[in-house]
Amino acid sequence: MLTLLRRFTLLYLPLALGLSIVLVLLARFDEHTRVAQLASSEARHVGVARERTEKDFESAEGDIRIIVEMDELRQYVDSGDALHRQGMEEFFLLLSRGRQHYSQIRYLDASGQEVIRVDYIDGMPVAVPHDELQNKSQHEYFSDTMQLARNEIYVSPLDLNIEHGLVEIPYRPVIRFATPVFDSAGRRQGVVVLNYIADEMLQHFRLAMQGSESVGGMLLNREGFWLSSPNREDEWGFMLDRPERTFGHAYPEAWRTISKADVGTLRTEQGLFAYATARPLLIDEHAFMGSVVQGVSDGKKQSAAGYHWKVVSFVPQSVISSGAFYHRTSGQILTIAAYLLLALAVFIIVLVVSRHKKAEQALKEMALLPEMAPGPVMRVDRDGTVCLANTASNDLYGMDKVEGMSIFKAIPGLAGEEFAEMFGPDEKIMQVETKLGAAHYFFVLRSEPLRKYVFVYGADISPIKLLEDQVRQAQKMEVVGQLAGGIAHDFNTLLGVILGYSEMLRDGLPEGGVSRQNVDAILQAGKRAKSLVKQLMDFSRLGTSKQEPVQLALLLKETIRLLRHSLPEKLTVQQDIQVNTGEIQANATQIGQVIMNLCMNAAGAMDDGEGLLQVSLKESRVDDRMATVQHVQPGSFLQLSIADNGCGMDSEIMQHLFEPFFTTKGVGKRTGLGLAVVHGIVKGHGGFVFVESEPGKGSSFHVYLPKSRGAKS
Amino acid sequence: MARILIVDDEELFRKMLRQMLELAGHKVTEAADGAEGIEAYRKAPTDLVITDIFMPDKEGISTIQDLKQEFPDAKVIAVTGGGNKRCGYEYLKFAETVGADKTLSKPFERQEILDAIQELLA
Repeated sequence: MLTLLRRFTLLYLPLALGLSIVLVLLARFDEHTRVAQLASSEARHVGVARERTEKDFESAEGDIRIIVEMDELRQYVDSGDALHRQGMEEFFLLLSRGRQHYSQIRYLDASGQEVIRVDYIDGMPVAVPHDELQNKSQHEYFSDTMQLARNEIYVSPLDLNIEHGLVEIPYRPVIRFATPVFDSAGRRQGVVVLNYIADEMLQHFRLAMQGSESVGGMLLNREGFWLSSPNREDEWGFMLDRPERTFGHAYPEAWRTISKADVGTLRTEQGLFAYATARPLLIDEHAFMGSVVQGVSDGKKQSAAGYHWKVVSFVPQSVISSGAFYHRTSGQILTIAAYLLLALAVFIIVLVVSRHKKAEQALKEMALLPEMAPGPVMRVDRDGTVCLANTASNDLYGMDKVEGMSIFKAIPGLAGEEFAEMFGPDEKIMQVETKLGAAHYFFVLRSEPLRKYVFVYGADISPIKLLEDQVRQAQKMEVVGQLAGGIAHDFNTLLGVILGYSEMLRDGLPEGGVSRQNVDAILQAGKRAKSLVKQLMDFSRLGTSKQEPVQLALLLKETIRLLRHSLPEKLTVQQDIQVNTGEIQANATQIGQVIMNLCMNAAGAMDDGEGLLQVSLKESRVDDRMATVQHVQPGSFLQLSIADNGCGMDSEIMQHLFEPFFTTKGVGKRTGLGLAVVHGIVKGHGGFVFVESEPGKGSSFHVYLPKSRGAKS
Repeated sequence: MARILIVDDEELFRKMLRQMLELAGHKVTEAADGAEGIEAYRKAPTDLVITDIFMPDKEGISTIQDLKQEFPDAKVIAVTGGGNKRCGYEYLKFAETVGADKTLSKPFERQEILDAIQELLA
């Protein structure tokens, strides 16, 4: 589980990082697109507002031009006739009612004295009585206008109306349009002044900016003071002694661009700005005098193009951000879903990979099974060719690679027809026992479900075979022993009869006669028979045997010394006798006979008596398994080994080795009881004989005799 | 000259031994098993009893035991050809422990039995 979690974390973290990068890029792209759309939309709003603002101005320009071009006015300035004055006043009243956005329409004479004045009060035009008319010669608009040429128009900055030196409450935004009036002789006789109330224009501006995503439209004068602002307190800073209330102060970075550029959009840390420059005056046709800031007049004329306002839309960063990818519900759902899907995908991948790895590991471990098998494991195709084999197979056949070998060569005795049946419709298991060199092998052949191959498993059963042989031999010896014991008594009795009568018969026969010789022959044969029966009795443990503590090492050395003279001279005798091996309970004569029989046998196995005879003695332990097979008690034994490098024996000979009367020496040479007697004597001592032999390589006879209990080494 | 009782189930052996001992000057009687042997001894005690070990009905060991119990002075030579499960040597040793004065393995030579008889009756 921990591994699974670790793998999940290791895979998920980098992928989640990658997903985060993708999502950030996506969010940026989304914001970029959104801001572009917003910029486009805001620019459109700003453009509409700018056009609307400029349009409102056109009527005022037109109106003042009509007034100064009127014959009635020219006639009045030429003549000063009261009738013409009245005519002008009526026209002013008509214009005031018609337009409704001039708070004052005036004519001032060259001294600055108001001559005609119509105020628009509470929706009604009112002609101001003569005695209430004022002199405005000190006012900037008058002095500036008096300097203008024909057709030039003074336009004041948009500011708040001042009455009697104070800002009129409620605020009344106003622009003064003025132009000089010339008499027929071309002399300046006065000025016409229109006080244009900008309320309506500003309302139109605000209306035009509605629907924008911005905080609201802003209208700025050249210095960056708000003429219209969503935050109304910011407006008219220059009139209300609030010099810090400027756009430039609030948005310095944006103002640096907006104040210089004509139109455009701008992105700062504070947000998105769309702006346009409104130029309400018709370019090239008019000019104006005066400053846009009240009270600051340099008295110089400026171009119409210089008279401008900035229409600005501002979308704060917070508004942009609030619409950002991560702030939108859809974006949040998409983000969470993406991470969850990624986690799910990673989990599935990790699970699949983990299972795959486990399966792979299991396969690897499974693959070890045949490789680690001590015996051959092979896969054989239909042709009988080994196509896959483990190392044990290579070792068995002494090849670098068994692959390619024929199975019929690998398993001698395997029948071709039976092998072909392995590929039949039914699953089959076949067992073959065969000899490979000196070793016995047991093979199991098994067809696999698809019938494409046959799997072959082999095991070296040589040790089992050997044990089987020994068990069989021991059983046979037991039977032979019982048989011998059974007849020994009666046989000896009858032999006693023959020998007894022969002796008595011999007494009555003359010495040297043929009959006497014949009876002697009977006696001789009888004695040999007696000897044979005695040997047979020894074999079957029926003979007389007196056992006492014997130092086997000493007995062995002594027997070899005595025997040396009877052995061929060419035979080399090598001794490896451990002297401190302690005592055994034994009949020294019988054990001596065992040593003698084995040595004579070994000598007989050599060609011409030439070879090596090795005699050794050591302590050995017989375990439970060996003890069970050999019918002895497990424990400490002395192992007496007599080995030769003679002709050796095949398994057929070894099967009959201890049987009485079995001999390879030919009839008449030996009794065939030598090894049978060895077997009988050793059995009579509670021991056993273990034989190893290979044709052409020699034989080893290992005699195991139990150590005396409590005997000291 | 001595009186000798031969106890053996094998008639051929009895007859051969009888002839051998009679030729040596002894007076011989026969019995085919232990029970018959003891009965014959009761009727006519002999100087020596030569008995086989392996016999049907009543074998040699119990025969020696019973004889020695009834006639402690009786002289007995036990003979056997060995056989069966246990070795003859052990049976002869066993026979000695139950009272046999001498033991011999079958087949024995004539001189062996005559020497043994002489030794016992000396």
